[in-house]
Formats: sequence, C-alpha cells, structure tokens
Amino acid sequence: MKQKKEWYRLDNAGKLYPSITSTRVSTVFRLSATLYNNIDSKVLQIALNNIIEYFPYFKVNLKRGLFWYYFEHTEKYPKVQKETYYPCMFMFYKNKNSFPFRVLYYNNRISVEFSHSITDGVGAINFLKSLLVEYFNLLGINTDSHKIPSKEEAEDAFKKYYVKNVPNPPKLKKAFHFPFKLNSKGEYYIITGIIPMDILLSTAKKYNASLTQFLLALYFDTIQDFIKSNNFKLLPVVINLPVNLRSIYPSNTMRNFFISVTPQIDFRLGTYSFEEIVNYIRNYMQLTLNKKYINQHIHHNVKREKSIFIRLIPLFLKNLMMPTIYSKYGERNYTTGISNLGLITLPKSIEDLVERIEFYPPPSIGNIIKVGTIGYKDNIYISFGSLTKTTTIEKIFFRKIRKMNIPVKIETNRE
Amino acid sequence: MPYCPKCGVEVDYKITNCPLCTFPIPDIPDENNNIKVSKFPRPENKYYETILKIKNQIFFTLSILIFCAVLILITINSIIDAHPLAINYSIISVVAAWFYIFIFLGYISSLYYSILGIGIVTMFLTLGIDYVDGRINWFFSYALPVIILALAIIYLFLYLYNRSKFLNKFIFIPSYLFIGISLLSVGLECILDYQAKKSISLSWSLIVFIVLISIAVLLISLYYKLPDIIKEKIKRKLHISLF
Ligand SMILES: [Zn+2]
Repeated sequence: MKQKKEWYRLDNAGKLYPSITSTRVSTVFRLSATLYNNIDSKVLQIALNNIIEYFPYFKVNLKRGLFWYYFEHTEKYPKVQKETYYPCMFMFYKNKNSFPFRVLYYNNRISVEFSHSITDGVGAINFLKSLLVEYFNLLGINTDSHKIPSKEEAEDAFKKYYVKNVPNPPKLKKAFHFPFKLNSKGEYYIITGIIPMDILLSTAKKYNASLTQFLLALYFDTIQDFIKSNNFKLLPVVINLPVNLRSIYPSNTMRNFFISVTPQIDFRLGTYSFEEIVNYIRNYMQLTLNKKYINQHIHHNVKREKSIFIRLIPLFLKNLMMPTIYSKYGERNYTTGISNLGLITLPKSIEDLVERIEFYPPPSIGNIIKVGTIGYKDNIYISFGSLTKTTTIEKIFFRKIRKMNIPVKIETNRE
Repeated sequence: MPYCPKCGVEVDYKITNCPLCTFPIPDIPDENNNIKVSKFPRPENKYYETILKIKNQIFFTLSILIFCAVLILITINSIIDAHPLAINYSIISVVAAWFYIFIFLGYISSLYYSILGIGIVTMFLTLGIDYVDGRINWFFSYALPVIILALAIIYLFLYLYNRSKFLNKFIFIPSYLFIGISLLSVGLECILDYQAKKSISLSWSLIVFIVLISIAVLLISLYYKLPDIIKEKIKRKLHISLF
C-alpha cells in the first residue's frame, strides 16, 4: 500500500521567498563550521542521511499549488557537494528532486545553505549542530544522542501566536540606499571581521549597550560617515534588524519565526554623536521589543496572508506581482540589514573540534550590502555580504572598530 | 600577523593587498610556518555559461524550425502552382525572423549594436519585400528614411536615459518617451508630405508635437522646480495684496 505523502504549507514568512527568488536575489543564507581537520565527505554524507530523518520538514521538495507553493515529503536523500561556487548562490529548489537546502564541504569546512522559504537562522543552527554531532559520532567521538523532534517543531508559529483585531503598524517610507554599482551575476562577496568577544563586550558596556545595540550603533555611524563625506541627497537611514521570536514566545519551531524591527535615523536632522546613536537605539529597542509591538507586526503579516483576495490570486500571478510589491514595500524601505544570531554553543564534547562558526546573510538587490553576525567561543564573526565590488562601507565600519582599540582580523572571498 | 597600515586590521599571511582598502600589505614572514588552508574555493561563476547554454538550445531549436519552414515553402512552391510572390514574401519574412531572433536572444552583447542590427535587418526585410516583383517602388522613398528616423530617435532616447539613470524614473522615462514620439510624428509627416507633394507643410504632427513636448517640459521642470528668477517674476506679476 502506498503511503500518503506528507506535505507542509510554507510558513507565513517563508511564503514570500519562492515568489521573489531570482538569480541575484537567491534568498539563501549560509552557516558554516570550520573544523581542525579536512572533511571526510563520505562520513559527512552518512551523517546527513542519518540526521535528515529527524528533520522531516526539511526532507522535502518545493511544489507548485494553484494558489501557493507547498513542500512535499520526498523519499530521496540530499547529497553533500564539494563547494565550487560563491556562497549563498541561487538554488534551483523549484526543480523536481532538489532540496530547499544544501550541504557543502571544502577542505576543513562544512557549510549548510538554506533557502529562507523553509527556515530562518535558528532553524539552520539547530540543523548544523545536529549534523556536526552526528559527523563526530561517526568518527568515533562520544557525543550526546539526538532528540526526536516533536510535532511542534514544524508549526507555523506566526499563525499560533497571531492576535486578532490589532491595528496595522505605521507604514515606512523610502530609505537611503547605497549608490554602488552591482557586480556580475553569479558572484557574491563576503568580508568577515573576527573580533575578540570579551574586548567587544567590555567596549559595548562602556557605552551601556548590549552587543547587538553596539554593533547596530556602529553600523548607523558608519553610514552617517559615508553619507556626510559624499553629500548625497538624504533620505532616512533604516536598518532592518530581524528579531528571533522564539525568545519572546515559547515556540521551538524549526521554520521561520522572526519579525524585523526597523530602527531609523534621519541624518538630515544633523550630525549624531556615537553616544546619541547608542542612546537612540537603546530606547528604540525598549519601545519595540515587547509583545504588544511584536503582535502588531505578526498580525499585519498574517492578516495579509489570510486575506481572501491574496489567497485566491493564482500562483503565477503572485509570482509576477511579488517582486515589485516586495521591492516597493520591503527592501525599498530599508537601507540595509544586520542580523545577529547570537552566541552559539556546541556540546562540550565537540567544542574543541570546531574552530569557528560563521554566518553569511542572503544576497539581495534591494539591499546590496547586508550583515550577519554570530558568536562562537571567544570570537564574534561579523560578515558583510555584498553584491558590489566597492568596499567603502566595510572599510569605514572596521576602521571605526580599530579606532576604539579593538583588534580585528579580516578575511574575504574577494580576489 | 601581517596587518594593513592604513586600516590597522590584521590579515592572513600571503595576502598582498588589504581586503578593505587595497593598500599593499607589508610582507611579514610566517614564523610558525603554519600550513595555510584556504577557506574558500576559487569560485566558479557558471551563471553566464548556463544562460548561454539555454540560449543556444533555444536558438538551435528555432533555427531548425525556420529551416524546415523555408524548405516547406520551397517545396510547396515547386509542387503547387501557388502565386510565386506569396511564397517569396513568406521566405523573406521567415529568414528575417531568424535574424531578429538571433539579435533578440542577445548574441550581440552591446545594446547599441543590437539596435543597429535590428535596423539593418529591417532594411533588408523591407528592401526584399519591395524587390519581390523585380522593381524597387517604395524602399528608398519611404522605408529607408523611416527606419533611419526611428533609429536616430531610439538612440537619442537611450542617450538621454543613460544620462538620467539615477533621477526619478517616473518623471524622466515618460518625458523622454513623449519627446521621442513627438519627434517621430514630425519626422513621419515630413517624409510622407515630401514624398507625396515634394513640399513640406506640417499639420497633425505639429499638434502632437506641441502637446507632448509641453507635457514633457512641464514634467521635467516640475522635477527641477522652476528657477528662482522665474518664480520671483511670477510672484511679482500675480501677487494678490490683502490690503
Ligand atoms: Zn586597509
């Protein structure tokens, strides 16, 4: 008897991504772990085969419905690949038999790249952790066993924590954008700055800011310097900061569960001192990081999806409309984005076997430079993902950190 | 560890230029002789290769179709006693279509040459159609001037468009389109009039020209706002005193 194939709806945030994906806007992000020894690809493949059963909601193919895309369970297994392209490249995940994620290896590094349609950074971290644990298990290192995922881990938490009858949040206006020339298609540049965690934290403390607040302030200040030294026609600077909602709601979902908050500073009002920026951000976070504010945004997103008009538009029309709508209401209103995945901890038994963990944000035309940060062991890794050859923003940013007497080491995939 | 003297950031051994500012990194010998493991592969960019492959497939398929179409037309021509002119028209059009496809698939990388190519193919197409009956009737008097006029206006449009890339699209593209259409209509009437009467007296195109040009000028001046002197003048002439 043939069993009925399991299928999943895309979650509220994930629904958007397949419709806006293009060769440049891949909506793919990367998490990678660098070990001390070269990767054994055969062992990695077995590890992947073993753990994928615990992530049934990832063992899927994207399919076209009449009105929405959906994920369908597949009997096939994903294959590990040797890394040959630029990071976060376009994924043919709309094709038959291709997965919405990939596992790559290169020398001593394992990378997982996920389409944002299926999960966010937190889901990807959990997956990478399990993969590492299983990989070392197979190499004969005693580690903890896997936990069986519960049904809850595939839930659409947006829908679960949706509150009815809340007014819409105020609309954003067009934000300042970096006026840099786009690079060739098929290329994506990363510049990673490696910074000792303790020094960065103590400096942030001096300004009475958390790490995220401090980095955000540095980024605002960087853009301020850039704007003021070039005399651009000014628009407000808006930075998109995704917030992991699992820290606010008791969900363990492995699918998307984040909301973007959008601190903004209008440099037409004058020059801001660093202290003023930090102050603004600290206050902004207090205003926004509470259930009432977040509910308003969840409500807005879910309401849009629930609208009967949007539901009844055939998928091909959605695909035609979404890129324009997204650029008009989405990234047009942000200057750039910075997403902080926080401090990652691995089980003690394998911590000494993994040198570092890095996070690369997805490439996008609307925001040609985006930042992904992640902390692991003693360092914080700040990665600028960029679709332009210009490195001005990165230069100003890291020079600023150096001026505060914080050591920085720079690495890049640029030639 | 080596570092950039300008940025103050550390970089890996054997990096020749600073990744942030491209300043040359002073050469420091690696004392610990660490074996350097590269973090990234030398990345391949298959994008253009893949696109070219797909394009070639499309072009190859269409070429075969067009080749078959021409063969069928020739066969029909030899079997059935169809009107030879009709067959010749079809063959010329199908062959021209092949050239158009070649250009539209972007095998000529420069946009300017592509447009020139489209112009040349159109010239040959019209010349061929005109010459089917063995005489040239209207090619030199009508087709050629119109094609040259259209090409000139398209090039003018592109020139203006490239110059205003970072300006407001909703203002400039319509304005330039209006300017293009108004120039085209004037040129068209000139050609038609001259060929018909050997003299030029404009009528309908002038109306189009005046209307569209004034809209375009209005749009553009709204964007740039009026210069202060003119503003001042208007204020002076039209001011209403309350006392
Ligand atoms: Zn430098």
